[in-house]
Amino acid sequence: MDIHSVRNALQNTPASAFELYERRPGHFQLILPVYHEDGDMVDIFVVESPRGGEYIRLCDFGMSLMRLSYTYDVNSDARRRIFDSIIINCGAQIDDGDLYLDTLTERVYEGIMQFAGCVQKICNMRYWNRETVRSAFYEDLENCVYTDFARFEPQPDLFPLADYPSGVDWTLRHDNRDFYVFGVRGNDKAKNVAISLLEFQKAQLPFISLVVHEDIEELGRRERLYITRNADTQYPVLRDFQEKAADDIRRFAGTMT
Amino acid sequence: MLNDQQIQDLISQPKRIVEKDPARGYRQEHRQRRCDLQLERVSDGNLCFSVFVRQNLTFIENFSVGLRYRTGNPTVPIVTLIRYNGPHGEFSTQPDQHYAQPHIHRVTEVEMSSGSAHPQEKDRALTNRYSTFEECLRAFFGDVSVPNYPDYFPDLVQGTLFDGHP
Repeated sequence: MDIHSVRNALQNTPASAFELYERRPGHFQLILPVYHEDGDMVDIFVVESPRGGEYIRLCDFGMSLMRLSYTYDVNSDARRRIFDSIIINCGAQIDDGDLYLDTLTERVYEGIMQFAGCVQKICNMRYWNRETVRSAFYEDLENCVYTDFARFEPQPDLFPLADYPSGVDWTLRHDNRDFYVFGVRGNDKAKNVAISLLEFQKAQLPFISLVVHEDIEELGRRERLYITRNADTQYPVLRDFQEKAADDIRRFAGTMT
Repeated sequence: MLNDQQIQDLISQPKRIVEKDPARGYRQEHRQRRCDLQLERVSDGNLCFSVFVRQNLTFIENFSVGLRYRTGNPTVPIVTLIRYNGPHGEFSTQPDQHYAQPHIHRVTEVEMSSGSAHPQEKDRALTNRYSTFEECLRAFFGDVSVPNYPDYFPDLVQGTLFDGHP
């Protein structure tokens, strides 16, 4: 990679004031007036591209994912779909956390703008999650229940108490035991489920409750307390339910008297 | 919403680490090493604090350690109160030069009352109290009053052969 060619390519663009300095041998950090919400500059590096020739690689050495992980982990199918969509739509790629985009040297300015936009979308992914996947969690949970837990004969929308208006999202059955599965996204659903569980317990219904959260950390403290007091088992994110619930159901059925 | 004094009180009130993920050392993934801590407030045992610890594996001077607080307020359920950063590089064109030096980000009452569901730690100050990742951790745990950190970070108190030596 000829860094002088990169500098020359920037000269006749609005990026002529951007600076490049060699932070490590062959790793040039870009200094540009593009910032995160907290005022830190976005981390963009220019390195040699494996494509060779006139190509250079813009990358971040994992800085964007690291920053995102301060407050938000890509740890569910819904979040991974959003994350992958952002990268694809930005024309970027990712390799073990390193976000990158290969571009022709002569188009480095356009590449920088495109890559900086991608970095900012990644680092602000939590906003996308709220705005664009309102129903994705419940869809994912429903798919999971009917595929991964099909052997437990899931029944939707059971109303176990005739005079109580709230029901059970899915009822699973194993060894003649009932398992009530509730999906919880948001404080309102958490409160409603907690109250329903209390009513079912007061009526002495025989069941084990399995509460599946989109993200338990998103709940308020009070809602987490309410639901923890009344739920038999909680899964903080959907993946925990997928990985552990089948074994839990068999174990609970074996220990119930 | 929290005012500046309440923010400072939350930062400085005594806390205790109760859980560390991973239990020992750090987890390496996506070109970083990381661990996450759950903390309880010593005065009432409330599990309302967490800490994230991150260090980039390519540029080890890029690290970040932050204290997060669960407010109990559904509008702003969780906020990063303070975040200790290493430098982001060696070159900065910003007036405060913060990009090229260790610095501390802090949330303020202005951000807390802005109406944002995710108030940002926009206030930042340069610091010369640490330059390495290990020094940062010691300074951080001292400032946020976590006296039991050596139980979870034994390497921070053992020191290395040349600690303190020119």
